[in-house]
Parts: sequence; C-alpha cells; structure tokens
Amino acid sequence: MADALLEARAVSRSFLPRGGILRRRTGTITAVDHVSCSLKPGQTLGLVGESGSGKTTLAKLLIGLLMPTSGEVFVQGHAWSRLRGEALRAARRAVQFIFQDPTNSLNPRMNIEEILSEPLRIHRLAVGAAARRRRVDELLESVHLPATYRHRLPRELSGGERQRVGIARALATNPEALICDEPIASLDVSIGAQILELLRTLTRARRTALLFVSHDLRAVAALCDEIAVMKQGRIIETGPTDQLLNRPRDPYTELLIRCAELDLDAPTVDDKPQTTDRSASS
Amino acid sequence: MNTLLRNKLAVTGGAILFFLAVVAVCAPVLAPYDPLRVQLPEALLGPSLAHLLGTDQLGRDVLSRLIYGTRISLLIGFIAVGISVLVGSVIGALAGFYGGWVDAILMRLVDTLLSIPTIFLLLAIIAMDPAEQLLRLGGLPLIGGLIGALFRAVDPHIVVLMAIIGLMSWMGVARLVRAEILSLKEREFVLAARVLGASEWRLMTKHLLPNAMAPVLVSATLGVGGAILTESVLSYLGLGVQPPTPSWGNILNEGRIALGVAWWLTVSPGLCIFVTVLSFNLLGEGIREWLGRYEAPLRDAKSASEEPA
Amino acid sequence: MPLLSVEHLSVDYRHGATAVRAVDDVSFAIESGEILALVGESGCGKTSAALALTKLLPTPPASISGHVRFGDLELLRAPSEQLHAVRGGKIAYVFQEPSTSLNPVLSIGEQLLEMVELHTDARGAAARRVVVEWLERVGITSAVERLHAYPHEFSGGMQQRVMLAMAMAARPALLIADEPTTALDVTIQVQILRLLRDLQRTFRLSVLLISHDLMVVERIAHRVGVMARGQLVELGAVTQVLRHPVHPYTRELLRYRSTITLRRRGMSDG
Repeated sequence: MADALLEARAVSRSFLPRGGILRRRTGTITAVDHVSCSLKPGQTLGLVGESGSGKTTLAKLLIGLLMPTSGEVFVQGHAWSRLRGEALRAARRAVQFIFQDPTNSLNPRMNIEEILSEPLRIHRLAVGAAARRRRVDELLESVHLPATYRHRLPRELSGGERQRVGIARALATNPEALICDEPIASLDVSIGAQILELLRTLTRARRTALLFVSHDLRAVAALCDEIAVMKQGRIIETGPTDQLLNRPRDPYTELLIRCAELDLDAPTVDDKPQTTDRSASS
Repeated sequence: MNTLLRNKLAVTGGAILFFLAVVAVCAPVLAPYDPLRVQLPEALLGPSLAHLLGTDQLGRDVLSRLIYGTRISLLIGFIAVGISVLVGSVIGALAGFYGGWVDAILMRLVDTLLSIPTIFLLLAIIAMDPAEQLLRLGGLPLIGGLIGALFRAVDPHIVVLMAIIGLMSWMGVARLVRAEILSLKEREFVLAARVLGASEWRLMTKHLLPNAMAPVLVSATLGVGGAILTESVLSYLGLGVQPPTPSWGNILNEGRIALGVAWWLTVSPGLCIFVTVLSFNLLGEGIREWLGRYEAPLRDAKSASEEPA
Repeated sequence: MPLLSVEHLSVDYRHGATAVRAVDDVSFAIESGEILALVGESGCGKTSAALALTKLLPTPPASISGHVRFGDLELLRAPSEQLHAVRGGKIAYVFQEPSTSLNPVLSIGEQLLEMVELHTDARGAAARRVVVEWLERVGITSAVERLHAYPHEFSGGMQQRVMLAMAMAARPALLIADEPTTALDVTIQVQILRLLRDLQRTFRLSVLLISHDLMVVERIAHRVGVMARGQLVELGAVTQVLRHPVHPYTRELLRYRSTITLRRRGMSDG
C-alpha cells in the first residue's frame, strides 16, 4: 500500500553459518521466512516472539540494516535496496531505531552532545553551533535529562540514562516511525517501566508510528494497539491487542499469553534441541 | 594498588623519553665536544673527567657522539613508525570496512610481504642504493623539488632508512586495524550511526577509526623501540647510518672490534638502546591503560553489578 | 529449628583504600521445605549475600562477617573440609547463565558423574544410573544417549535443566538459585519454574530464590525478603508483603510492577 511507512513484501532472510573446526558451511538458517507486514503512520505495532523467532532480524530488515535474501522492504514506497545518496538520507531521517543494549549503542568516545548532534549534522538540521546546542538541550529535556549531561561520556551515565540518550538521538530528526528492539531488556524493572512510559508519551505526542519488538508480551501490550506474533521466522497471528490477548486464534499465542502470566500449568512443548538461546538473539 | 604501580612505570618511561627528546633537541648545547672531531692521540681512552664516556678509535668523544646519536635514533624511530602506522591504518581500514574482494586483495598483499624475511629485503633494497635512484628523480617537477628539499635537510641515507623501516612494518598494523574494524563494524553504536544516515566517511572517521586506534597506538610505541633496534642491527651490519654521522647502532658497530680493550664503546650505546626501548614499552603500557578509560562503564546494568568485585 | 539461619551477615568489598558494603547486617532463616525469595534491583546485594552463605566469594577483596548456621555447622567458621562437603552437597547452587556454569569441554555425563561421585556414595555403574535417573527427572528425554552430548549441543533451557540435575544429584537440603530463569525465553521459564516447583514438592527441598522478578516470586515462593542497598528492608509471607507492603521501597517496587501488569487489558491479574 502506498501510504505505509514501512512495508515488507514476502521478505526472507537466510544466513549461512560456518561451523566446525574447518569452518565449513553447516547449512542455512532461515531467520525470516516469507514475511509480509506493514507499519502505517501513527500505528503502534508490537512484534512478539521468543529467541529464534526472527523478530530482531525482521526489525533490521525493516530499518534497512540488512538486505533480504528474497522479497523487498519498502520505506515510504521506495525499496531500501534501491536507495542511494540524498534519497537514502531522506529515508533515514524518516525512520529511526532504538537498540537493545544501551551500553553498546553509544560511541564510548563521544560525549552526549556529540552523540546528539550527529543526526543534526548528518541531516543539516539546526545549522550552526548555537542552534545545535539549543536543539541538544531540547532533546535532553524531552527525555528528562539535565542539560549538564552534555559534556558527559556514556560510561558516566547509568543504563537507564544511556537508553534515554538513545531515545533522544532517535527522535532528533523527528522521524515518522520508530523501531525499538527490546529497549528495556537489559534494564531493571522500575527503570524499564519509566523508559516505556517515556516512549509512550513521546510517540503519542508526535503521533510517531511505533514498531516495538520484544519477547516481553506485557511491555508490548502496554505500548501497542496491535500485536504480531512471530515464531520460527513467520508471523503466525496479528490483531488488535485487546482481541489478541482475550481471544487468541493460534495455540502458540495462547501459550505465550499463559507463559507471560507465569501459568505454570501451561502446555509447553518440549525444548527444541538445537536452537540459539536468548543470549545469542535472533 | 596495581594500577598505581603500573602508572608510575609508564610515567617513568615517559619521563625518560622526554629527557631524551630534550637531549636530542639541545644536542649542540649539551655535547661537550664536536662529535666529528678526530683526535688520534686521545684514541681509546677510558671514561675520565675529560671524557665522561671515554673516546673511540679515532679519539672522538663517545658521550658527544651518543648525544648526537639520540637525534638519529629518535628521528628514525618516530618517522618510521609514523609511516608504518599511516600506511597500515589506511590499508587495514579499507580492507576491514569494505570486505569482499578489496579485503581479499589487500590481505594477500600483506601476507606476501609478511612472508619475506625483513632483513634480507632491507639488505636487498639498500644494496640498490635507493638514495641515488631517488636523487635522479630530481628531474621531475614537484616530486623532485620535495625530494631535493628533504635531502638537504636530512642525510638522504637516513631518509631512505626511515622510509624502508616504515614500509617494512606496516603490515602488522594493517592486520591489527583490520581486525579491530571488523569487530567494530557490528557494534551497536556503529549500526546506530548507519541508521542515522551517516556517510561511509563519517562512519570511518568518527566511529570506526577512533575506536580502532587504541591497540594501534600501543603497538606504535612498541614499534618505535623496534625501529630503533632495527636501525642498530643495520648499522651493526654496516648498512645503517653511515659514519662519521653517529648513531647508536654504528657506535656499537665500531666498538665491536675493540670490545676487549674498550668496553665503554659497546656498553654505552647498548645501554642507551636498552633504556630507550624499555621506556617506549612502558609508555605503551601506560597508553593502553589510559585509552581503556573509555571502556569501563560505571556499574549499574542488571547483571554487571551483581558480580563480586 | 530452621534449616538455615543467617544472622547479621555483612559483606564488604575492599578496593584499595575504599570499602563498599554490599550486604549490610542481613538476618533471615529458611525452614525445611520452604521457598524463600530474595528480591531487589541490581546492586542491592542479593547475589553477594547468597554467595557469602557458603563463602563462595573471593576473600581478598571481600570480607564476610556474621553467622550462618546450617544444622549444627557454623559455615563461616567451619574447617574447609566440612565447608566443601556442604557446598554443592547439602547446599547446591544454580546460577543464571547455564552456558558459563557448564564446562564446555566435558560431556554432561562426565560432569554429572563427577557431582554424583563427589557427593554421594554411588560409584561406577551405580553412579551412572543415578545420573540417568536425574536427567530423566528433569525432563531430558533419551537420557542415556544424551550422556555423551556436550553442553553446546543443548538449548539454554535444557542446559538449565542439566544444571538442576547436577544440583539435585547430590540430594541437597537447600538449593540456592540465582536468577535461574532470567536468561531464558518465557515458555522455557515456565518449564523451569514448574520443574523447580515439582522438585521442591517431591523432595521437600528448601529453596533460596534470588530474583528481580516479583511475578516469579509471587508464583512459587512462600516467603520473600526485599533488599535494597545491601539491607533487608522487609521480610514476610509472599501474600502479605505483596498485598500489604510496609516499607516504602517495597511499595516503590510494587508500583512499577503494577504499571506493567495493569495495562494488559483483559488479561487476568497475576
């Protein structure tokens, strides 16, 4: 559809791992298997799945960090793979990403001011040192960080604070869509709750479309009006949050819900033998 | 406790090197005698008040020659390493960043050069008397002018020496940089910069190279020591800095013959080389520590702080 | 008489001239057959406290004081022979990251056998039978074949089951589990918690469960202690503490928990 901000059409992505002592190709892993989905302006969509479901890979495909092995991803109607130069930059201004690990998503050698000015410089917003500084102050304020943090280095901030900087950086270009990949997974529960609240406030105010990728069904349900469930590279169910939670159609969705409630008698299937676990996430 | 000690050593190393730099710069002021002044009657005198480190076979004051030799050694060390870091970083960065056939070609080049024994290559090149060859290029307009100016400032042989030592050691740097860039490329802050729309130039200069240079700088400080040693070896073989220009290496070489009678001719330059290389190594350690200050996050993240210190 | 009695436990970490108090005068007891949870956010000292119980902290940087009574042993002052017999034997540990707790170069059979021969009287074929039994009890099918498998051939959930088998093979009286399910997928988490609950019921196991997740605590623990900045600020029955918290910190913790759960419109509470 022409008005979707992001659209994946029958997208697949495979990896060819090399294992063993001689690093031979040990087979293909299909992380994303013929997936079609879209994100429309103002929409809040949650992408839920366990490790190995392909949700992070799909997120990276949608943001153009990875190219699909088949199918195509469109941003504002243009295929990522065909964008270059100025057009590519324009697309990047419109769609932003928040990473999972706040420790690693900030350049350790840049101070906060430099980190937040980078999108401004790249897209020539707020030209001139004074204008940039004003904008950086605005950004810091929007994520409830004091202006004095400007000169600090990432390592001097706590995890929650670093994630706020990540959010501020992502919102610096006033994007139309924001993709978040497990933004609170490595934070304490209370800090994570605050970050979620911040995300909700900021995206609602600007009517930014949001794609929230997580294994945590509760967090997704808290923030998103619609949810898509992924399993082994496919989207097995989508629907409005309320409907999905109360009247799930797929038994796997039902299982996820029960497990999210820590229902110890949920009918879980035996462990899949050789899948990646969460530490080596999809 | 440990870090404090290590820092003291690094500071000591740095202080010694600073002192040497001062000596090199102020050589004309500090040297008691003209290092080239030949006084045959005073040949092979042991250390005395007049000649603190004695004299060599031609009656030249060893201390003065050592002082002037500091210039040569430090110059060669820094410039040679400078060249190797520059060339190595560029090639390693390109290979790591672009991957694919660029990487393949560049790395095969590195492998090839690495498999040639350095000393023999050096000997072969020097034997071809490159200084002469380069001087002939003096005919060419711009390059000729540059070379001419360079050769007027510094002895052409030394220039050639620096270039050669530098060009023979860039391969290690290239590998180091390539490895760092490869691992950095997948770090989330680099991905974040890509998502922001950063150009390749920006990625390379603002994100990849600054974070990749730490091990390179450490290796560079060690490399200066290595370059000085290489020069010494070459001089020992008679192919380094040509006498009468003093360098620690050729003083050592000349002293070799008189080893039995005049220990001061080998011990003093030997000690100088030893202390200098050691100081560079200590400084390298210190730099590694200092650069690592960016990496340690203050403990707070979920699992990190639960670990016993 | 409680199974484990902790009195005035304190742990300090010395770093040069400064000392940090990670655990500050903590006292609690664990009865036979009960699950006590220790909750708190990162840095509160819960893991340090759990490791200090059997002196599993390296004592140059750390210094442990207080009393830990286990049966008629004073663990903090017991001779190392007795301490080593208790550690891993009567008191077993399961940690968060099974991939780092298991030796990657030994098969799981070998590692389990080692545990069994160390802490029980079974040897040789008898020991092997015990190992197979435990693997089956923790839900690993085709246990006999799996004996020769290496840790990396198992998923995270199965590795954690192996860890539980290793811990249980010594027939401990007390199992200390430090965030055993945090690194696992939610469906696997449920499986492991169910396993833990079943093991606890079948063998009348006491469990000291360290967690940051209040929902997990609510599901399987009997009593809960809340830790903040090294101190135990509240201790009591789970139903009591979670419904009627006394200490302001506990209330804060619960407040954030409610924020996440309330918005599950239509999902049953807890």
